[in-house]
Amino acid sequence: MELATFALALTGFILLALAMKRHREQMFGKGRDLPLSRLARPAGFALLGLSLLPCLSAYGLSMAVTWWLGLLTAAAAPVLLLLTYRPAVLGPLGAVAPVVALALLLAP
Amino acid sequence: MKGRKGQDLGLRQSMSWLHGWSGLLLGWLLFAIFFTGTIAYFRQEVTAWMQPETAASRPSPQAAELAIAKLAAVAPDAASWRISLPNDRSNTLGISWRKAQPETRARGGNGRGERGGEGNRNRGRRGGGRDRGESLTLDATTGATITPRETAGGTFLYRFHFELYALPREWARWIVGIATMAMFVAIISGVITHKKIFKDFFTFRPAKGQRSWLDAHNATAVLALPFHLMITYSGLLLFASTLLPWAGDMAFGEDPRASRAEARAAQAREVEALQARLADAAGTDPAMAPIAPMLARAERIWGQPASRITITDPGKPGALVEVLPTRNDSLAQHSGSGGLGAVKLRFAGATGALIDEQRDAPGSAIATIDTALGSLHRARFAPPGLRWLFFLAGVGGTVMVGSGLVLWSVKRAEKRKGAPGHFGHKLVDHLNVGAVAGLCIATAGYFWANRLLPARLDDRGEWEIACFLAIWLASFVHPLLRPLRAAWLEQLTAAGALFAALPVLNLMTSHAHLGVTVPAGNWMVAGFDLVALATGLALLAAAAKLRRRIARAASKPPVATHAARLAAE
Repeated sequence: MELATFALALTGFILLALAMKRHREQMFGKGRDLPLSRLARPAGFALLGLSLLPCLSAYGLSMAVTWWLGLLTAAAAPVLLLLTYRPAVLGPLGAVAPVVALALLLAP
Repeated sequence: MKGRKGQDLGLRQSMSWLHGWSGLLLGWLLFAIFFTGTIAYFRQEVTAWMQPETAASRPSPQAAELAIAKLAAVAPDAASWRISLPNDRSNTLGISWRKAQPETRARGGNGRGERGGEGNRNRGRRGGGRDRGESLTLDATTGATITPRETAGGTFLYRFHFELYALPREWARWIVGIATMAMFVAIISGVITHKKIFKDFFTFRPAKGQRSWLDAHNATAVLALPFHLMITYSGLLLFASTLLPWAGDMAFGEDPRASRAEARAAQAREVEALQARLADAAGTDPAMAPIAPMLARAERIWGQPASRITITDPGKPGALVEVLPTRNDSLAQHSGSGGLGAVKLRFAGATGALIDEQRDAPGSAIATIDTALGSLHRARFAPPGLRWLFFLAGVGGTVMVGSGLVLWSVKRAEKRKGAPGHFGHKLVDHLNVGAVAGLCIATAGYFWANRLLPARLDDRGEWEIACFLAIWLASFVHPLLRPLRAAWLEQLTAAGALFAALPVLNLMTSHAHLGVTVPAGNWMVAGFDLVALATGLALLAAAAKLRRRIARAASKPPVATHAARLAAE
């Protein structure tokens, strides 16, 4: 469940970065605008909130929140580092991470 | 509108001033607190690395039986036995026992302080004079006695992060407490000073001088902000009895120590009554019921294995077995140090019947929050994955303080535009080298001393600490003799090389090196080598970067670089 939280939070942070013009250009090049990029910010925040749920299903409230906050930090850090050093990776990563999260959540 | 904006600027500037000075004045100390405190999340694992004699011991299902057999052989008449079972943070089996008269203070000959045998440093200091009796470390598979080398271990780094060293306890707590308060001030004022928390959330622009240092400082601060707030605020609470001696009276009654002693006495009476009942029921048969079914029962009830066993009056009709779980699964749960208020199960020694189930004692809302924040700070509850997250956030905090210190210097150097700084600036510049890079060298040196000092040295743990302090002191002298950049370069290189070579040193001086620990899946010990290697490579990379910058600066006249920098701004 921790991995699902991490994957959801990672997707959320990538969406938040995507919502900012400077970072969008880092990822996809100058002048490229994405359709629906207006939705990236609310969707990003929503995913960050949703990422608490897998932890809540596995732990009591206090432990779930502790895990969640720790995983949020752990998910934001690679987004920052990749934006700086390998921005092109973030697009594909943002596509794979939610699939991984879904697979983990639906796995028996 | 304009007036409001002016006011806003004033607040931000005053907060920036507050942030800069509260951060600087205690920043050197805060760096050391963060650095050693972060390592302390793995203090048992660090101690295990520093006692490679224990590495061959592997957990086994019959560990508890081995412990009881050994205790029955060496201390058949003891008043009580204690067993620490191997778990995911310790692969050895610890046994200790107390003589029949609780007043006798026998000092164990094997230098086993708390779990893991950390030398005699904290013997008798902890637990307010409660007798710890004698103890042994056993191989968890064979039951053979292990005699590990004496070491100050991870415990020294742990204690250093809140008690420093060789200072009167209360003084040290005051100093660290004041630093913690400065940290709290720095966090609050830093958040107010930071203009674009959300806009710059993912921003890091490398190789841009002051800009990069500010980005690194902001990123490590903001990304792990929940951790920084939690660790600083809970740290303050842990010092509350030192910093606000009268507050404890208001919150917990007039004398918390007396009320704790009373609770302990009440518990002792309860146990005595329980034992009297057991003795009546059991008759005179001294045989003990097997321990394994009790442990299995405990694991079924808790959903996690037991890790500590206390047997009172072993072999007597009133024998009582108390079993404690490995870790808490709720933050508001007492950690069980001292055995008060902890979750535990009690079994009748003679029959193995479960006779009492102690759940966590609920407290007031304030007491619960206090317990939860204390748990969060110590992270004793944390399973391995969460422990790593705490560790990484701690690394973030360490980088935050370090980059803040460097930023203070860099900012003023850029303002001076190449002019030499006055005494104050020079002092800060040079202290930064020893406080940041020097501490890395000293810590690596501490681990080297662990392997290079003779194994049978008297007071070996103290010698390790002496090496640590001597190296750290030297690292403050060295920058006075060298140009600033050369001092940084040399110290970073030394720290990086010492850390990166620790796995090699381990290979040459023990049988618990990566070539053994990785194939055996002994990640507890292998983890130390791998983290040391990663730390060393990171420090060497920082040194390489600095070397390139020095080379570039030397090839360009300084005026040109300043013009370029001004143009860039």
